[in-house]
Amino acid sequence: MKANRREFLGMAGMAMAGLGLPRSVKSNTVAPRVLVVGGGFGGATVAKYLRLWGGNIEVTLIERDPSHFSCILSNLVVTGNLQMDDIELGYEALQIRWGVNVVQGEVLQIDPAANELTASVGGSSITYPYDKLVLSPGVEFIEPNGNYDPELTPHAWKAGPQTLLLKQMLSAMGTRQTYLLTIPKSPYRCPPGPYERACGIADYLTKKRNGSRIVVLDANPSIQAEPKNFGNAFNGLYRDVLTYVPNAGILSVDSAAGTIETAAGNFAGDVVNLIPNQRAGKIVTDSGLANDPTGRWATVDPLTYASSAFPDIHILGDSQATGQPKSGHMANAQAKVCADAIIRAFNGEAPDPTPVTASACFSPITSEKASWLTASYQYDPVSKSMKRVDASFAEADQPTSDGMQQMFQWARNIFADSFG
Amino acid sequence: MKPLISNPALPLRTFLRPIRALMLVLLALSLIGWVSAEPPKGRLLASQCFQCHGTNGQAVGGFESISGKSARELFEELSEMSKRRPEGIMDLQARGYTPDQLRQISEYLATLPRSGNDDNNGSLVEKVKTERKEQQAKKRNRLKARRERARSRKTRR
Repeated sequence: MKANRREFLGMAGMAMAGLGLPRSVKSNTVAPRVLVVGGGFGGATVAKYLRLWGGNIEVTLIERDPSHFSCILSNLVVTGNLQMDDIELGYEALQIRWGVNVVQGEVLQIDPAANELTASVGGSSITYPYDKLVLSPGVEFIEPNGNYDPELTPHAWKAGPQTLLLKQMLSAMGTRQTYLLTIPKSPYRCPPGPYERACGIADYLTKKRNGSRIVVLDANPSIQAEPKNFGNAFNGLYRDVLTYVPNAGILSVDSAAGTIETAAGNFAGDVVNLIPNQRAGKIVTDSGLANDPTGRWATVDPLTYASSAFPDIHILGDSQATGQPKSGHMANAQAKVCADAIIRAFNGEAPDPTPVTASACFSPITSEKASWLTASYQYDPVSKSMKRVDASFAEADQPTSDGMQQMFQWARNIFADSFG
Repeated sequence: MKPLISNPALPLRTFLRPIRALMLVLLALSLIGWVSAEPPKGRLLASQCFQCHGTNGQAVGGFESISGKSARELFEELSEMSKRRPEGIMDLQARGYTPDQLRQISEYLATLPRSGNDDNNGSLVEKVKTERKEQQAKKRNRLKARRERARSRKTRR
């Protein structure tokens, strides 16, 4: 998905001709400055839409990595159906088409009183002043007790090297072996994701026919998303290769031995795919912004995604505590609400009082068929929160091959809407 | 510098030139906007469609582009989706909005330029299909080779 040379030159040409630049870049007012931290779906979308809608706003995106590997579709890389290239999303379009200043660097600290952020960029420490700061750092893992080593028991819950590591471990599995998958306690990134992974692994092992099995240890009392489709697959199609254990929160782990002690008993695996419990991204926690009652997520106003602690710092995507599902699609949805609110604020206007965020996702149940899940959220002025519209909430009747095709169409479009 | 107006040698055209230039600049700036003015109604709501139907309603493949169509038709289609027995994902999505919100979305989408990009191929779909075909071909070849080896063993015996 990275721009090839021809696309890059095309975009550069457009930019030089002044055609690709958002209209108000040409105007000469003092530009308001927005800093965005984190180049996943939330960060990329807010940066893009601030430029698309925001006139002369100066947008700088600070991201640790040179490109983003999408968690969306990454389960298909683990099972060998897709390659890493298929989920790699570059920042070229944000820079050239939308005029976002993309900086590869690591945030060191935020000074909310001075509206300044310091980052390490190419070995130097640089201070960036801002009018508004948007944090979209995703999740941070809470290390389980025991001798935990993610290199031995990978999560592959942030796409990248961990995805490849898990893929290698899966392909190296021998006969009559056990794959342990742990599902974190809700809330966590991508509610259907772990069950989708369980199905992908079960499909892979079914085709191998070598007597190997998957044991799913769920910290929750039941399947957290699409219970009908995943439940049917677990109890029907995959009953010979998959065992589902609810209420199996991790008490301790020994990564080297491949053993997990849970509330539902002790388990051992030849491959242990341990997805730990989660909290807001490190920069959110370190800056004292993880201030919800659990101390794990950031309380924000869902009309603007502004932190309840500092009104010029906005937090969106997985790190915030509005109760909306944590996913790339929802981060994109929230980013648009946030971008719109920031632009209005620069114009001295109040935020839109009735925002809607729409969630949709597709999950492969087999390598041929996928199901879907959807829900929309409306702002409720009484509770000042986003409320799910129950009439809009449903999962597919059953997985279909059309669903599989739609899944790739969805991915292609959301990749482009966020990064293109 | 003498004031322009007092120099009778200068024709009126020359006198008007800087004013005309200033007017043009002002006109251009009014078109460009400083920071953008109040957002168009329905824009934020409609942007929730763009995850699947493309930025500004111009899909990059697969799903339908939804920009530049008749507001009335879009609204009728969305209203029908929100009322009929839910089957597809859009029937659920349409239920996420009030009738007034659906109208705002339709009216905003109608103002956007129509997409010239209504293709229906997803490169990833093709890739997966091709890979599947290749895997099946490899499997067939393996089975064929195995059969041939078995046959040649029998012949040797």
